[in-house]
Amino acid sequence: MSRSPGQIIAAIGGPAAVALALVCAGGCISTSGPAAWRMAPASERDAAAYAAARQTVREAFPAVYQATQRAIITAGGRQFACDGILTASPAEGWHLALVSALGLVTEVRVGNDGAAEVLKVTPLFRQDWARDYVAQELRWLFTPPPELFAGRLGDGRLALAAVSGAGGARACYVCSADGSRWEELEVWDAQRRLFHAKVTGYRSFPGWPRAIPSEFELDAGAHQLQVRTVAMTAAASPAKEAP
Amino acid sequence: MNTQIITALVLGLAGLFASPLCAQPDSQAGGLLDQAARNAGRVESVFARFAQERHLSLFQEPLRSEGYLCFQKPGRIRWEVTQPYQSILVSDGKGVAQFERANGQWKKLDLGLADAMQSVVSQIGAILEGRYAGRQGDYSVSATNTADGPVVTLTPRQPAMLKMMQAIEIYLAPDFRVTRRVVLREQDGDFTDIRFSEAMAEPPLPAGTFDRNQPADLEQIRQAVQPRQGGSNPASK
Repeated sequence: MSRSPGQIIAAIGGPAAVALALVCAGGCISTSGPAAWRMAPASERDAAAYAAARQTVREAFPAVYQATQRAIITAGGRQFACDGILTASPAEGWHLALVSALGLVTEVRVGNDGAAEVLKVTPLFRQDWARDYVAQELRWLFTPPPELFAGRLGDGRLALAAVSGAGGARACYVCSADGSRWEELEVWDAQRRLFHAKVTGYRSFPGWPRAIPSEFELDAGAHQLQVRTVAMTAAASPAKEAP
Repeated sequence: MNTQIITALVLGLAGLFASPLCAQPDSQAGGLLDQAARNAGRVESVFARFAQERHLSLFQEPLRSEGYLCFQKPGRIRWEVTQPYQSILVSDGKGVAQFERANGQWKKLDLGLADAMQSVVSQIGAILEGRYAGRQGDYSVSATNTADGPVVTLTPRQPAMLKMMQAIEIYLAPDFRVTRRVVLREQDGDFTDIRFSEAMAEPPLPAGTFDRNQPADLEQIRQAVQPRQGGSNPASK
């Protein structure tokens, strides 16, 4: 009797279920192309809006901060809650640890050059999942690349496109028509969509003058991720040196 | 399910629950644990506030959370985080459920690893009901007296367990009646520090405290367990 991946995952249970769910996630990515990205080229008239959009995306977060996050991961129809602690600094890059009720899940770091490094591997989470999913999603959501090419979508909103120098992945950051709000992110690898994220929950935190997007609802096909920033301290001390 | 983590959690929480029951100090660690196990069977319910810090060696600032713990025989446990987010992990002794609050609404998760989580909670419940001494073989036990009170340290004996957990430290009040703090130390320098306050034995927990479908609101629980003026308990009438 054949079973769907979800049934198999549900039947297995335990850490193996998490493992299998994430493996399936990797194999179930949409294969349609980024046709929705067709955009009119930037015009001189919109220069101010494009500049605002670039600032909105590139400077959404402080240069130096520590944030506490709450994440719900859905894979194979099952949900897993984790705490996240994220630090960012020009010297150290972005450093994220995920902790579940069963202990540390993983720790990853993304350098200023975009290079991802898995700092800790635990029995709960394989190294390649940390590298291929956690680090990638961290990189695109929290560390937009410096080169963003502007255009305007058919619905009037602004789009900033980026290409990853390392892997050739392409991203589209979608902002409101005036560039003041970052609303969506879509990332593609060749002709496959890696994930789409809704960006919402703008709120203020002590020590930072602008409201930041505190909620990301990410859909990667076979796995979904909801991330909320629940606390943030701007100008936090940078992370310690890795051993 | 990683059994080392289960055992670490079980023993860590066991210390936390059992220690309010250590009515008399015992200089011998074995005797202390035996007494804790004996006394544990007598407690029907516990309500306490906790503040937890997860210290990760590569971060300067810890991951902080705080909330409330409820326990009631047989095997009912509720661990509710109130800051910096709201979350409830609850077991009614038969199964476990988790709820997350976002945008003003509670949402029940389709919880993964539910069987494993229930296994952990069941073991904790068994220990709370007095079956604690049987686990001593897995740990070497030492007890020291400090200026702030006695400290019981459990060190795993099995090499596989030692890879995950260096030690579990249980800090008791000088009169042995209250657990003030539990520290779970891992081998890589990471540790979890849980401090308890406002602990109450035998609080009148309202119906629904451990409901896996619609758990009672925390404020309702707090009002129910609040001691009346003069020291009597609302539910002890």
